Amino acid sequence: MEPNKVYSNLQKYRSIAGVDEAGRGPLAGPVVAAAVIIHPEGTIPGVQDSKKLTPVQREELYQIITSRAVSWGVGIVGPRQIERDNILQATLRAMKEAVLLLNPLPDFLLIDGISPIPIDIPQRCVKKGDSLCFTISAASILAKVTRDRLMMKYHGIYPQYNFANHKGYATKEHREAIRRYGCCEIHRRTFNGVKEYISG
Amino acid sequence: MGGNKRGLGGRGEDLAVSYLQKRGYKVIERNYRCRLGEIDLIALDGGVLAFVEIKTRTSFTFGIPQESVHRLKQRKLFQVAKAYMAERHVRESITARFDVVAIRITPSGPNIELIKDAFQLE
Repeated sequence: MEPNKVYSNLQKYRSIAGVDEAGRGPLAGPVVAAAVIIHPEGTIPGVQDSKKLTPVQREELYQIITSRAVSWGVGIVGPRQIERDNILQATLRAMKEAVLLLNPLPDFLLIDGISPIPIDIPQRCVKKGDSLCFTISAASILAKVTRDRLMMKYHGIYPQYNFANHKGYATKEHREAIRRYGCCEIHRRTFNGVKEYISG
Repeated sequence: MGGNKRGLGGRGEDLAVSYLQKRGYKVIERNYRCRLGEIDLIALDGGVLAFVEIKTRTSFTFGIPQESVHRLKQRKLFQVAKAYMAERHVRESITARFDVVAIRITPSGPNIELIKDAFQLE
């Protein structure tokens, strides 16, 4: 349209944070949220929806984003809490934790999706925000990389599930491993595909 | 929500949505409204943000559907699109365009035509 124009009527806000989450759908592992403030002048080439990047690209961009961000934070909510509340509440809690780690606190939030965060900061939810908004894309990369790294660690502890490969998502391989070995400490026992295999 | 209650336009929109989804469009908003006006459909086609106007007709009595997006309407759509992009803080590097879905309801079924990048504002 006008490629060099910034489409923003949010100029009255001095620091805008993008917020996104990774790991809402998997059968195992935590849900991870990230919040990031990037200097308005500081765009980073290649930053786009984390799902459209390769793992190597994401790692590289993670380094660049975390080194250039004004501030960034990550919130992690584990399987027990996901079971106690529900995945939406757990996700919102992770997002809130991520935002509260920011220093300075942002005066406006752009959040991926449709659910506002219960926090006293003006905010707007953006559907497909991970594709549309630069700061949300950056947050999506931080969340995804952080979660993938955690799942690699869990792979070392519970190698029979091969978390390194599917990161806890409900792939055929993962479903078969659950059928064979039952569930482990990091499985979400309230999720379909897991709860059927809880013994006792 | 049934198509009947919303009349011809609503039924046309339902048809357009499933048509576009089959072609890989990811629908973000239906009937986006702001104080400047309305856009029938906003979607992502690959990495491109598409603002879609849906035109439904049962005959060609008043001209072919895409002709009814006249100049004034085009300018209005452009204003609404800019407002949407501003409100959502859409990244400056994104490519946006205007598509028209022209639907003609005939006795033998609907006839759907998609015109990508249907008009540009100079």
